[in-house]
Amino acid sequence: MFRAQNPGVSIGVKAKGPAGLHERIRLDLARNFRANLASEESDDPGADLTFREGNRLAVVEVKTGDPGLPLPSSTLAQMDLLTAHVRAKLAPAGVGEIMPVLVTNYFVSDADRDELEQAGIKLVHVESPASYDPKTFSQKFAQIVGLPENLIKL
Amino acid sequence: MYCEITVGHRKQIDAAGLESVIRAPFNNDIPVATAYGRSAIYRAVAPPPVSLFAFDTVSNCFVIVRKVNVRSSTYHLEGNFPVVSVETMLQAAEEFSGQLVSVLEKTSFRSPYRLRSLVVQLFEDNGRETGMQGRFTSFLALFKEQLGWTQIKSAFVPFVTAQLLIWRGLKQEPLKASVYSLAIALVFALADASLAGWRGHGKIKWKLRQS
Repeated sequence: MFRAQNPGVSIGVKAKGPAGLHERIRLDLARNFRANLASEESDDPGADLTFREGNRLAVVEVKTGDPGLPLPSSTLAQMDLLTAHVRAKLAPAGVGEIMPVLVTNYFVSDADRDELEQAGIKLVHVESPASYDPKTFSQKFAQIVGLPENLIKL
Repeated sequence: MYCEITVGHRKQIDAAGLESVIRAPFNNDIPVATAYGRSAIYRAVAPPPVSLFAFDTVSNCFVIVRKVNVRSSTYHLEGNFPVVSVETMLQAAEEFSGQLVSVLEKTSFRSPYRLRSLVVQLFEDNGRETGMQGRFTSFLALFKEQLGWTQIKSAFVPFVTAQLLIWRGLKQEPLKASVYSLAIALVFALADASLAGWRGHGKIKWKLRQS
């Protein structure tokens, strides 16, 4: 990251999260829950992933960044926009319950956790990018989101 | 696009106290609901009570003091119109951050509101991270950076060599002294290579070559 050599605020480009964690999580989830995968849209303004389980649709947003920073305060608004976008997009096909799911490695305070819970957003926290294990993470994800665990291979 | 500025404070703070410290220096108040209405991401959201106040700032941008969370406070900065470029917005964020830092630095030395850290992140209108991030660099942080191993290594090797030569009493024996100096340089090179090898194990080292 670029840094000015004087005290002050310097702004520069930094990779999205540590070593492509965002992509690793997205690909691992897509691979492990392929049978339930409804869509995988990395470039679309929609969700990172959507999974279908019966009449339910899990709308997954993977949000990675500096784990020392608190969860961005716009996350709740982002998840609302996302849910509305998916609902509008899938309305013609008919959709049942939409469950927004946030996967993040940001620091989540108790207040943020409560706020997400009140908004009906399921939270899957990535404790440490260094200790990220696809299998353990996928199992945790399956338990929280309610997806079958028997297909997890990695 | 919009910026989110996260400020870490020295101790636990409360919203009312923060407002009393920073509201007066940043005048040009605008109603919080108006500011929410101007924002691409918050347009459809009713302003929550945790959002303290909002004001217009330089370069046709506005700021919402979004919320206080234990030891941190968060600020939303965005252009008043979509035509405000990212570059202009980043300049506005830099200027606002600088003003905020100076306001917080004016509080007493033991004040809980004093600055510990400041991070600016740029987001797309849909809330996704762009990867653009800025950090407040204090004198102490710059000093620590300059004191890093890569910066002081060139001075450290001759220092260790000189210490060893004095300890062994070899100042008057140039041949032995030069052998010792070479040995120390080799030991450091070996230690550096081992450390770099251990850190870079399994990674590809890319190099740009001109054909």
